[in-house]
Amino acid sequence: MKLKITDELLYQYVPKADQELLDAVPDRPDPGFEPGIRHKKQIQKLLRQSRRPNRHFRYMSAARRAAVIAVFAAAVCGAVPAGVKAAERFRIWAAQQRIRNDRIEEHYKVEGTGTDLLRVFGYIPQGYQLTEEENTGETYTGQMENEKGELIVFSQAVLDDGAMVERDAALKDVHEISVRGLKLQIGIDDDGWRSAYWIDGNVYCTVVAQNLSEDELIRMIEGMEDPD
Amino acid sequence: MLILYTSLIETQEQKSKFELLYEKYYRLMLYMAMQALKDPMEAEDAVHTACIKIIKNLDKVDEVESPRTKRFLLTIIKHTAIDMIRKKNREKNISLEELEEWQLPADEGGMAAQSEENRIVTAIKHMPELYRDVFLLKYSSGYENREIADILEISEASVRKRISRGKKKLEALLNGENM
Repeated sequence: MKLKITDELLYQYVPKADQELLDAVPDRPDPGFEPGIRHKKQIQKLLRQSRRPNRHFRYMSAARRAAVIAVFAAAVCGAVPAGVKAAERFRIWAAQQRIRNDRIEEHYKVEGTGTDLLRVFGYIPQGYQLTEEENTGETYTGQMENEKGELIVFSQAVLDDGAMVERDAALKDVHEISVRGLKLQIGIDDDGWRSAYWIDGNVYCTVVAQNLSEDELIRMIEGMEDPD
Repeated sequence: MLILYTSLIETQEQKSKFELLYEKYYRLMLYMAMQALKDPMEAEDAVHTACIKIIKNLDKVDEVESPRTKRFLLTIIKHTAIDMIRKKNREKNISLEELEEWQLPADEGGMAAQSEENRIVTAIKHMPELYRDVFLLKYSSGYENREIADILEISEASVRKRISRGKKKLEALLNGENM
């Protein structure tokens, strides 16, 4: 008789596997090297800030930021000859552009405010049924399944302004399309699932489908509608 | 960036918790990072990044000394290291899947004759980390999908996907089917 992997079975056996894995990890192992001064300072800074009262280091954070900016501005404007100053500015700008381009490739950034609406699917591909869903008001997640057990998994999450979210996996054959005025990134992820990611106002949306054509995926997203 | 993240520690209780976590698990995190990255400087970077992620998720830590907390920290440091490896491999066009093969160990002491329980536990232990860590966080540590998504910095959809795919792969493996 074939073994069926159920949640009950996993709740029974995964803790045992976990305990065996944890037992195999030494408690205080030797990393094999002594951390450098740079790293020690970074960690000490985190610890120092963690010991301060929240209100104090919030003010200190703002003050420190202002002080750093002021010192930097004074150094750049007052002490550096014009030619060196221009070269330094260009170097900083180029570095920022590289960082920005790297982050845009991997992240979405939520700009400003917009809708916090979590939308429902007005269209479900033929053969699929909604088998799980959970709406907390801040997130709406769930999955649809067909008779073959193939899944479509979705999630929507309301983000704070300025939040950055990382795409879950590298996508192959990535291309951007526009649906309902929204820019979607669609591609195939590491597991071969077709994935779509987009931002709708303040909501980060994901739909990943085990075996669905791009047309059907787009039709699902086009058919999303405001809840009643 | 550090200032931004440490400002997320909102109460005195949570700040002390981070310090206690550091004292208990710091060397372990360095060790695990070094095991994965094989480079001291990269291991230091991974630990630093992991500390910031831990601070962001301090609300998910109950007792400092517990298997659940150890699993939480190990997961964070491991996935931080994996992210660094993935970034490097992307540059070299190597797929992470090529690095993770799901194979049961060579028949150790006659696995075929082992009890069903041992077979299942062994198979779970040898799952690719992509799926195994989600399983451990959910079915052993008891985290909700939303919390797992926060810890691993992925979407809930991905958490669900990994659970579903992990179950199917585990089932196929244990039933001797092609995956």
